[in-house]
Amino acid sequence: MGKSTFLAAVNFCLTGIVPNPSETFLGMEDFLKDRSNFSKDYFTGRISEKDRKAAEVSLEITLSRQTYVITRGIFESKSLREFSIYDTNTGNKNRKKVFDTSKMSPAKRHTVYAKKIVDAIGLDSFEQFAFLQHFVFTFDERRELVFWTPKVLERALYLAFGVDPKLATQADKIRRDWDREGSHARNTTQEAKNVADRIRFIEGELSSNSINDPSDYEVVAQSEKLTNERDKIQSLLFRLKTDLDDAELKLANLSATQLSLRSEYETEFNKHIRSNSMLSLNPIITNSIDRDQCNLCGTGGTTAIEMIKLNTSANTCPLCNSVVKARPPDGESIRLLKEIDKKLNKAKEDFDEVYASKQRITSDLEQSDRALQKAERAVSVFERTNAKVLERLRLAGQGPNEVNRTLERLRERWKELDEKKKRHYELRDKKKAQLVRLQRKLSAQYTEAEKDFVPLFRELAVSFIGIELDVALETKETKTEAGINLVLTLKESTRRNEYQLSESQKYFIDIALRMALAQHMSENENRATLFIDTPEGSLDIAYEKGAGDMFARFVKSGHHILMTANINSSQILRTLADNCGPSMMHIEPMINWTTLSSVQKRDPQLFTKTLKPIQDKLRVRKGRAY
Amino acid sequence: MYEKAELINSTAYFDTLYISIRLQTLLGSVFTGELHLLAYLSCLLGLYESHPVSEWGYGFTGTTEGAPYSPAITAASDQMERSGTVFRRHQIAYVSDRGFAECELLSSMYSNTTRQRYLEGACSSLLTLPIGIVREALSREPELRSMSIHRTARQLLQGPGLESLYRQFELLRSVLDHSSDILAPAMVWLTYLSCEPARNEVHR
Repeated sequence: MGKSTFLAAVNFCLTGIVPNPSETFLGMEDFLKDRSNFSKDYFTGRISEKDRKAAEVSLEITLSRQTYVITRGIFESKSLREFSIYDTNTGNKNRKKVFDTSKMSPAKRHTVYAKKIVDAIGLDSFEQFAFLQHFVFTFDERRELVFWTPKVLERALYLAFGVDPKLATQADKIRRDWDREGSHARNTTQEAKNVADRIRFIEGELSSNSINDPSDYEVVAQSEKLTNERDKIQSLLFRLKTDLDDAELKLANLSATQLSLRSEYETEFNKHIRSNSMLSLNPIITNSIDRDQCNLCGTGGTTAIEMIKLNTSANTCPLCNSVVKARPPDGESIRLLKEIDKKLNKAKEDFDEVYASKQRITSDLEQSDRALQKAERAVSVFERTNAKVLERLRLAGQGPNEVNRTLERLRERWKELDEKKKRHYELRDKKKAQLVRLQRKLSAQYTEAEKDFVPLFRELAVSFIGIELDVALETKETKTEAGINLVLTLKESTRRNEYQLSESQKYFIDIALRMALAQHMSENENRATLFIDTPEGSLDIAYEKGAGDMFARFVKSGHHILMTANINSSQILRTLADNCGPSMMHIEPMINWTTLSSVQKRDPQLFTKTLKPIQDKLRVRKGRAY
Repeated sequence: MYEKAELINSTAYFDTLYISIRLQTLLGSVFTGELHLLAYLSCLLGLYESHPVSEWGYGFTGTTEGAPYSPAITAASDQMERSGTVFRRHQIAYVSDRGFAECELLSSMYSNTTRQRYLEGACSSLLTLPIGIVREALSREPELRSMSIHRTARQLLQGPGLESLYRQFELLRSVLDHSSDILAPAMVWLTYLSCEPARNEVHR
């Protein structure tokens, strides 16, 4: 398990989802649907096959002086293996279970957990919780920025500054509907334009009297020739494919026949060669007679040899006394062998013939396939080049009444599309008006909260960047658009786009925004936790200390950070350790419990050497408090 | 009784009998090692004319000494002795009259028609080359040569040596393009192999 997987697993336990980095955020409800089943794919491969069933994540989270214990199977998005709530007012040791779900089904347990956690946090839906957790409180390997992703920022602002979380749900839905109506309206407009173009073309052709141009007939002939050629190849290809299927089936049958006949032949052949074994021709007997000595016991002389001859002339074995079937090679055995052999030969000839035919068909297929591609290209190029003539000819072929009917149909279609387009735009505008109303409400609420929120953000961001900056809410209300946004001003210059900042600046200002939102949203009793994945990776060395200071400031305000980091020369961990000390910071080396690569295993003392000075800073010494 | 006994491969039986008769006619007697050698040469001649090894009917392994060996030939040879198709007099094997009659019968089978060309080609090579030269030459063919160099025993005509064999046969075909006689390529190839440096010379 790597660092990013660790954070993903914690978030998966909380929400039952791992975000798919290739999917665009469309809305909170859509996000939770996990349409691509990405969570399963994410852990497949990371978890070995034999551990799939057993693999699970367990978490204990503290909420309103209660401890929520959750266990989720790593491939179980919508169910929980355990969910209990403990009262920890009397301390963690003597905690008392106040809510038990052991008798519920795993799916029901997940539903109950979703409701409980949403109520305890004070949100309107589990979708909101999952959104906040993945998009605002987690800065992970996706490196998605809240500040410069309008759809995400808008939802985050509604959740952070709307007095009622229902407002955020409403805004999310309206925004989604608005986007959808806008998209439908644009598509319908385009379709209507295409129909209008066609109407104009037909009307033009009718008025120009060019419909009976004789030179057009050459185009018709050429077009027919090309399409006929293509169709011929297509039907040939179809026939060849059928022939190939037939040949393959025949080959399979003939192979089976050959195998069965071969086995039959072998059995009959063995019967044949063993049917006429003669005891007197056995090497032991012939050698004994040759050498005038029994080959088994070594007794020599005429008596012994005569006895051997006598014993082997009968039809019983002189050793085991079994009756030996001394069948002379009979005509029936030979006849049978020849018959099978003949059948075998026929099957082989048939097989060879079908095999040759299959080879021929395969080669013909390849040729026809190439020919079809060529013919299709020729038709397509010809139709593109002569599109107008062909359209005109189609009209000419229809006759005046039919052309008028076509025109009528097209005009009707245009009218329909125009009305549909208007409806979509009306709906979009209606949604826009609803959104503007909510937006104004939010804007008013932000103005009230601004005096607390902006200093929080400034303090954090300035501790990182060291330059005065400001943030302001901006609402957009044009005829076609509505939206709410935060605008960053750095050294009196507005930075509306992420490319206007360096990589270090944009990532850490974004983290500062998340921290400020977390501080603003959470109650004193329930401070928020931010998940940060390897922040040092995106950091210029000049900003390392600043980043450490910013994180420490957030922690000192009573909030928490769950952070993964590489053990390297980065100053972030050192500065954090200096600022936080053992009471506020704990380092858990993953090398103690995760599988290391061969490269990581090669020099383990490097980890210890780099980690030791940081761990020393976090060690409580007698008489000295950090 | 035969139901419980080991099944004798009919193809290997025919090859053993055919080669035994040809050896007896040409050299006067039959030695078991020569049966394996000539059966393998026959199989290679079949391969030369593009008959897949898998269709030969039985397989061969190479010994660490660089000689071909087929368990199917051994089993057939033992059965022939048991049934009196072949008999021994003073340690020398001879094909009995019954063996000759059986060979005539089996030669008429369709299953054995094609292979007789290669069996005859391999045996006829003894008309011009002494058996010792044929044995020495075959031990230098790519498959057997690799085995004697590495002193390992394994299945023949399944390893990378097969590629070298194909290359040699391709070259041979290009030289003897119009020859329909299988003896010609057999002789040219065996003569070429017999001129190749021996295993120990390669090592040096």
